[in-house]
Amino acid sequence: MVTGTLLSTSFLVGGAQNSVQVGMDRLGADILILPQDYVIKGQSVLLTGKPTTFAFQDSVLSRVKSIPGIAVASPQLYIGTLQNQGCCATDLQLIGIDPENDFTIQSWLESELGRPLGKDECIVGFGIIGPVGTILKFYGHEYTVAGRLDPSGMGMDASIFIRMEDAYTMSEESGWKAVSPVGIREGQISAVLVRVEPGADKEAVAQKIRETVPSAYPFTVSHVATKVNSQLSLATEVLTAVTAAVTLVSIPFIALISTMVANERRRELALLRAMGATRLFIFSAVFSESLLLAALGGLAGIGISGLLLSLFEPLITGTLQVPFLWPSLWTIAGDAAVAIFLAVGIGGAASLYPAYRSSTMDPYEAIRRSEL
Amino acid sequence: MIRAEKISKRYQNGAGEFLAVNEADFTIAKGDFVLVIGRSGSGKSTLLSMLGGLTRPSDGTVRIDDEEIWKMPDNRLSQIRAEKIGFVFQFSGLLPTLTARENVLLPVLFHRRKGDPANTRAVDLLRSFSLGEKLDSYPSQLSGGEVKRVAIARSLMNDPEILLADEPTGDLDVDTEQEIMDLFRSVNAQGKTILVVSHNPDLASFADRIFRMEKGTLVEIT
Ligand SMILES: Nc1ncnc2c1ncn2[C@@H]1O[C@H](COP(=O)(O)OP(=O)(O)O)[C@@H](O)[C@H]1O
Ligand SMILES: [Mg+2]
Repeated sequence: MVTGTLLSTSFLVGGAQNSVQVGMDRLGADILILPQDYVIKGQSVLLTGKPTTFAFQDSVLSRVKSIPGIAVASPQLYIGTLQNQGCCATDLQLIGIDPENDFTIQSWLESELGRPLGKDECIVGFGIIGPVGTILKFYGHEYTVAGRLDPSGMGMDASIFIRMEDAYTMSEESGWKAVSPVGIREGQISAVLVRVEPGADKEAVAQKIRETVPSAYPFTVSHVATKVNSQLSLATEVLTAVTAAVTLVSIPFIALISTMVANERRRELALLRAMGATRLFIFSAVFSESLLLAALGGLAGIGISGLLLSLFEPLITGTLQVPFLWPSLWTIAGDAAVAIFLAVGIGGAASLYPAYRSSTMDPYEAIRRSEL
Repeated sequence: MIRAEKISKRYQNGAGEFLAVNEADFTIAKGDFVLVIGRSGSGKSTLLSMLGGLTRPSDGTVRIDDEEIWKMPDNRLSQIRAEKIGFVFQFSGLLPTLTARENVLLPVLFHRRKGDPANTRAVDLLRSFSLGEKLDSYPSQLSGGEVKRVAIARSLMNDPEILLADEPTGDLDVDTEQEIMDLFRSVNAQGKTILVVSHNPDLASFADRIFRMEKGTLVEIT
């Protein structure tokens, strides 16, 4: 029970922190500009990956590009899909990119694909099934899978990257090819990802964007990360408090169980004393049994919490509104080791006194009582 | 040889002190078969436990082969219990999770004697007590008399000089009681010192020396 709580806490925190870091790294943006009126939804796209379609009503890209201090400004177009027939169980986020200016997946494309994204090709997030070469159909338009990204734990895992031009074509054709049209006009964009020049102050650039383009809402990376952190820290605090409480409560509890076990076995232990067992032998027997039980309990706890976490991961991520990426095997192993260590430590500490009591009992007394 | 010098045991109870054993003073020579009879509550078990190193006397000294056992450190006293004393308790005293053979092997944990391998000796002991068929039976699968015989076999496993038995026939029928006492006799014939404690005066015919315990006071009557 103790191990389980400890482990869940550290997994959850580790998982979320992992996701944000990987996500920000992957994004590689200093500032994310979204339409003022879609700010809330935009953040949900970024962090929890609920697919949506939205766009600026006016042209913002050229105005953003004119602001000093900006090194690269790369437009993106977000189109949410309807439940897709073939490939995937959930709604997906189509993301139109400009292969010439993109820096979010471009570096990935260069290293893995060795060429820019071609016409009617797509790059899929980690969570999307199907090998390279699979044909995916959205709004009546067919795309060929050209590659797959590493897991991010963010919305990106359920995203599909396509070329902006193909997205406009798809939108236009959706009027007669698809059940419901996309509703995006040629030239519209949903977001601008900005990289500031080296040495430039992100916050100052963001302020400048706010002044120059009133319809835009710029997020700096720290802004996004902070939101996640504050949501997380609340969760962390709750879990830490729970863990502490469980640990505190469990010490007397384990002591009680050890005592009960020791009492139940008083007669057997007294018998062993009569046969010539030393106090040290009795102490070691009771103590090491408790350690063994604690270690087994710890292992069971880890197994159970691992199972629960994998079962409830979607729920946890959903209610906490934080992305979750399973920590690396090493982190898990480390956490597990710490958890077992703690379990054994707590078990050992709690059984010291019962073990001492069993070793110093009067054997005749113990036998007599059990005869009553 | 066991020598008790004015050993007493006092217990605290609600009202005050209770004298369970009052200055018992006697010597038991090697090879004696001694019976202590007395009513329930007269202090027999307490006396036996003080002699066997299971409970410390409030006063007096106990010597086994001229060594004062209650002056020893725990590991030395434990060694005496392992090597020189065999206990048979009123209750079964067998570990329910172990087979007859495993139960008999238990004392080897605390004292490795030279001679036959432990397992051979355990099996021989059980066979000589007509338990050859029950080697791998669990205590719950044995009759009362069989359980008692396994317990006696176990008490002999380390070939002790002294056998201390507390009401060994307490819950047995007359025939089985006879059988167990005959067993003690034959063990005694091999030169072992035997001290049996019982509330049953009918056992007097088996012993060489008989003591009576009355309200904590011990008197030799033969
Ligand atoms: N731990 C104890 N605390 C208080 N009284 C005890 C304790 N052990 C034994 N007695 C009392 O000492 C007396 C002798 O007990 P015991 O030696 O078991 O007698 P017996 O074996 O002859 O039945 C009894 O009255 C018993 O209640
Ligand atoms: Mg008694």
